[in-house]
Amino acid sequence: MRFILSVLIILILNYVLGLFLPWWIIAIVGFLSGYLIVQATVKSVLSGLIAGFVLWSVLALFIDIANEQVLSKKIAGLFRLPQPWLMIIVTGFIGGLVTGMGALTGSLLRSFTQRPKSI
Amino acid sequence: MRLIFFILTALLTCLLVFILNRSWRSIPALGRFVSPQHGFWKNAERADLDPTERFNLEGLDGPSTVYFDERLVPHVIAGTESDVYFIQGYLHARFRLWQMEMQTFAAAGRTSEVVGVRALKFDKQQRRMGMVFAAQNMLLEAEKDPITKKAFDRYTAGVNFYIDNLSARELPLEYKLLGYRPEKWNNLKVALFVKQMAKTLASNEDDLALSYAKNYFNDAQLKILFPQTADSLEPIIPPNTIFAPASITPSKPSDIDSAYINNNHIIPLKEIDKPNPANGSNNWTVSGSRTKSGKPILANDPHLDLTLPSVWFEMQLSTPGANVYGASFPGCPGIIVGFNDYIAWGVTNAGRDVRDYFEIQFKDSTKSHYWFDNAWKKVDSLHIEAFHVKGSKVIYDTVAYIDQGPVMFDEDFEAGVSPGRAYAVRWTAHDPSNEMLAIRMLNYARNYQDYLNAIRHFLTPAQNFAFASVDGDIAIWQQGRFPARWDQQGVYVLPYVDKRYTWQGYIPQEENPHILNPARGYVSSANQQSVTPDYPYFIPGNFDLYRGIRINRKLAGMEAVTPQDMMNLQNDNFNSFAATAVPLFLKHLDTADLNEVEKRFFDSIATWNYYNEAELIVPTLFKLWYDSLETFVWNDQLKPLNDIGLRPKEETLVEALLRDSNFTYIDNVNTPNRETISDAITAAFRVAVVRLSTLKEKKGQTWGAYKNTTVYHLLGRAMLPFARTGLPVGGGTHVVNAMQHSHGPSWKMVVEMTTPKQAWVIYPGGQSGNPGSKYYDNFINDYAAGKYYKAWIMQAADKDDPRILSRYFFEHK
Repeated sequence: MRFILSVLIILILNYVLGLFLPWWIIAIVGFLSGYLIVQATVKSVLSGLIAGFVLWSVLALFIDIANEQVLSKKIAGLFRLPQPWLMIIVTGFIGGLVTGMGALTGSLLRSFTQRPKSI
Repeated sequence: MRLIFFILTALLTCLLVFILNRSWRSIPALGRFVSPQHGFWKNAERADLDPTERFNLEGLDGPSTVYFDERLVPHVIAGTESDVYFIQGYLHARFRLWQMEMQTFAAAGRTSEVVGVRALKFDKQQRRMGMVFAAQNMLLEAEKDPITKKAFDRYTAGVNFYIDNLSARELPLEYKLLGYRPEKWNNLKVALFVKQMAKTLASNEDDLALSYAKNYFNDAQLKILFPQTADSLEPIIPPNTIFAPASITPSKPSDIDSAYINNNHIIPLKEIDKPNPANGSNNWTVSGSRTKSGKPILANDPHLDLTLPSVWFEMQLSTPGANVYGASFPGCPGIIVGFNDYIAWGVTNAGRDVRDYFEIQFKDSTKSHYWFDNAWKKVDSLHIEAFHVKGSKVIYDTVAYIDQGPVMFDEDFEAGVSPGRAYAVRWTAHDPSNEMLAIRMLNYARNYQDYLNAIRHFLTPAQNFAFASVDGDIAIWQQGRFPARWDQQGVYVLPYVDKRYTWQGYIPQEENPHILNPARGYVSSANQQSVTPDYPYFIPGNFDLYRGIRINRKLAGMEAVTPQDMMNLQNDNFNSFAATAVPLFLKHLDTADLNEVEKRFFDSIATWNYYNEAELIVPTLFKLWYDSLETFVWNDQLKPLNDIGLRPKEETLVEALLRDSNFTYIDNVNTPNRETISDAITAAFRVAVVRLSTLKEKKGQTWGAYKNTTVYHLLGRAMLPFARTGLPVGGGTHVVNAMQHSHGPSWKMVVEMTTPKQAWVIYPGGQSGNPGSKYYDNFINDYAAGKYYKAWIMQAADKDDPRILSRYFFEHK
């Protein structure tokens, strides 16, 4: 439950903040969620990866459909990708990677600052 | 331990963001580039939306509306001229900003700011050629005239209104790919754009190359290899036209044989980025006496490099003073080629030589003095050009200016072989002029006299202006500023140790070749020589030959001409050069020992009707045959000219062979025996067949596949996914339908001067410069099929017409 919540929070924050802040705000959002939301590191990273991937690839997908693949075909060609929809995958991958790395960093900071005190 | 993990991961994350936020070589900042909220996805336009927009601005005189039709052609209905130019500037920026900026950066020699050091040589040459100097001189002149000053100011304001409101996310795609932002537009950039067209059309003379050739060939030989006039010339102005005697007779210096004609100490100077010699066009006007409707019909198709976005932007500009429709240039105000309610006009390149070089000797490497009138004369000024090369420190280049113009080539640029020797360039494009006034006046012209008054202001690049009016007048005028030359002046580099070799005056405008309402009922031009040699001035240049012959032949044979006839003629694929050369080839081909494959190809070319259709193989065979023959004839003796890319014209070779089958160059000097014309033609045929057979079977052999007509993106082959390749079109060089690999009719227009006017237009591109828009290249399929669109000439009453897909409302505060 908390996991699903964290995915949704990251996704919504990434989107809303991305409306007026630079693209790398997703790393900050990932970092904050990893630091503030209490869950295992693995789950933290996964929520960042998934939220980042899903937001960017779904946004790209909607744009691509409305655009009738006019641009994705050309950009895929520039990137030497055999199929236009691979651009959506690349987009999602980068979104997920950056958010996930941010989440990992935040989660590791939390586990470091909340380590059991030495006796 | 966990601390270390955290620190490492934090560093890694920062590194990742850093890498994805920077461009590396040709890869843009990936993180920003693929973000759906920031990057290229923002340029992927919705296919279904055609938005209405409202602007509420100060500075406008009154309300105006832009109506977009289904081809995204904007019809601007404005209340004043000031408002219409503002809106035009805004629309040009809205749809073509990156193109406008890139082209004016190129004109100004600033491409290395965007692209890096590999463009530095190009930029240096642009500045040394005086491109910025020319634009500054034009701007001074244009701003003296209140009409053009207002036009420039309002156009610039419209462009800047777009740029000022452009956020990083909304930048055109190419800015995101190349990683930079647009700068503010200004009036100088309009002048720079015009000068770039001047370079494209008025800098194709071969003075430097021919001067170098003098090291290997004497003047008599060069006259045979590079004749001024072809045998079969059909000039623009009909023969037997009486010319007024020349009012200026320049006097030849007494020492031209030693100091000029036979002076051969020119070093191999080679200009880079010379304009495509095929830059030219067709135009013609048929008088109402020969058309079905009884009204004149004008046709024009300018030939330029085909690019995406196109150099042209189609639009209608309507104010109470003038209702103009046609093709505009993003980069300057007005309609460049088109028509209004009263007249129509079109242009072809005159091809006249308006640029000469003068050889000087600097005193030393400071370039402050040169030898003149037996003394060391101080140069007018030393310009220090600064190049803010991307990824490098600022690079400087000092250019001397003398009264003739900038000293383009010297020890610091290309001419280091001979210490102190340098070459200044005298170009009419440097002279103060106001071509935009000519354009504005054409837009507002109502009759022949208005047209004449308008074109007087057009000095460079010289054009053949075709004209038609609703009154029934047709005319053509070769208009530009032309130096009055003594015979042979300007063919080679000229000495400049005193004033004797300089230009002694300009041909008065009234004495330029022209004709009004000729008896034959049509005017036409296709970049051929304008007049027969009895014209009383020496007028060298670079001219075409065969398109003009074909156009005149067809027009002379037509009756009850319709606009469809004109469109068919623009699409005509008949190859007049082949019609001249093939009979000569067949006459001298030795068919005795041909093998099976060769016999088959011989039959195909012997039965060819000389049409360069895309699906035929025989046009490819002919081209390969001619190319092989050309190599056979010229390569042995003209080898030294390969360094400077100089080659005699195709018609020169064929006409020489037609005149004399023992033409001296047929013989290969590297072989002991003397080759005959039959040896040459047969050997060339055999080579052509071999080359043809190695092309991919069937697909690569047809003329359309071989030519592979492609419309490249402005960034060229680096952006191949943005190009349109393999257009199935015929035509070619020497053909009215002048389609080459990536060069051809960039705009096609046929206008009938009935009331209401009727016009058919098309160009190989789309109105939007955004590769993410469905309007980026939507005209290309129809263009390749030879189709046209009926232009919709909107009237104020049409404001609810169903053709209108969207509107922009401009309100004044």
